Amino acid sequence: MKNLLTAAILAAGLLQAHAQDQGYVHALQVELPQLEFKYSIPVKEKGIGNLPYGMNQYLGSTQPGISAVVLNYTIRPISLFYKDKIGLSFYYNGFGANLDLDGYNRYMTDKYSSKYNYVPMLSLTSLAFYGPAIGIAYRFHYRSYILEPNFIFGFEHLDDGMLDFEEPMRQYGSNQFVDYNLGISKSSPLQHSFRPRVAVGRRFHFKKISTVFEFGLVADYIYSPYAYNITLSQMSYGSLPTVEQLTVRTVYRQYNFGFYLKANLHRPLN
Amino acid sequence: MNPTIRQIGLALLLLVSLPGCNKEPDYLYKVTSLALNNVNNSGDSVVIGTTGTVPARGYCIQLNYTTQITGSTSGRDPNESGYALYTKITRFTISSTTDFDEQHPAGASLNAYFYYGAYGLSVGITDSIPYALAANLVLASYRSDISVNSWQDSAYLLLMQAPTQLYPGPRTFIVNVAFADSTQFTDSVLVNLD
Repeated sequence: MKNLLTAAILAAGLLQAHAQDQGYVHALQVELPQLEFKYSIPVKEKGIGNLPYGMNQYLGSTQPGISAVVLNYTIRPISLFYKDKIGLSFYYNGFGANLDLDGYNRYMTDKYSSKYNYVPMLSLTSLAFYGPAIGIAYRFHYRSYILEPNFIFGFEHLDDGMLDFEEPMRQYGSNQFVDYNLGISKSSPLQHSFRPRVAVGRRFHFKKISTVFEFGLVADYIYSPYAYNITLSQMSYGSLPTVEQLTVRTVYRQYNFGFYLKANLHRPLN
Repeated sequence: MNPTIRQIGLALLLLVSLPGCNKEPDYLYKVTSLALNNVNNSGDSVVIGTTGTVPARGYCIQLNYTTQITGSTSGRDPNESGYALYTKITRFTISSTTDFDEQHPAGASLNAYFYYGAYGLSVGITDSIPYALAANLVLASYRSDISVNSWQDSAYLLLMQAPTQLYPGPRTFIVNVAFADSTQFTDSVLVNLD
């Protein structure tokens, strides 16, 4: 990822310098990386209300807030704009939210705590997606202000590495146990997201340097259908393991609000 | 400064990687003795060293290994180095001096009836003795992330299957551990299983 970003920065700089030298910077503008930091508000997922094993509470309940910020980022390593109006942008982004695990832990306690003196509790699990994306945009200018509606098409996938757990539960007054193993994996290596987005920003620069900075607010809505497999197995001494599997199809939706920061080496020209 | 040069400088800065860390060599341990204790795991709290009757459903044996650092300690760092066994374990057997059940007469291996709790009394399906032996009795519960330098001087054998009613009364369990350097350790413990 770091090498990709470095290559993009280099390419952007060289292309822009070349464009400046050749005099067609008026038409084609290559922009430098843009970083966005966002606060997310996930929307409760549809279609998972009837999941077994308490999974509807486990996966369907995401919590918004500051804790979700680390999962929500957008890096725009490079953009191409024609006459500073119509643009094509390339993104690498992540989105998701921490799961509210109270319901799931309550379910596990209700079901097992009367028989087992150790019931595994989850403390931190996130639903996270990440991957590249491409977007098209049109810019409106008013003095130094910019309004930029954008539509982004993403190629993300679920990071399922954080969603598994395996814990033995020990029976009261006995050496017997149940190995409770919950596995969650994406059912497809690639999913898609659709993201309408709008940014409002202001450009400014300092007298002695040609760098133009842009700072603004950004808001978007993510709609991302995805599917995942759930495998629940329970194993104990002297018994055959019980394994249950199902596939869940649902849609992850989320609102994001944040700010962005960008710097261009040359002043964009209209 | 030329913008292109500035770009290249920024790129070089991003390409600088973090310096790598060299792993310190482990201290090497040799087991020098083995002592067993009865454990009653059937109540609200665990009783170690119990001498009375123990319910079979919660009977465990505590294994206390005495170990000694062997070989060179130069180049080791108390804060960085791990602790690894000097030699591999080649055999681990638990047996009874009296008949355990129809299939297990006196002296037969009872390995299939016990689980090895390398980290305590909480065991899972991967803590059977064959599994634990494959990992040199080290952290059998965590084989997916196994670390050969995590030898525990205190471990537990948990009885998972009680003897049948046909074979009641006091019995002596014997544990034998043999290492690749031909050393082996044996201890026994007397218990009356209920």
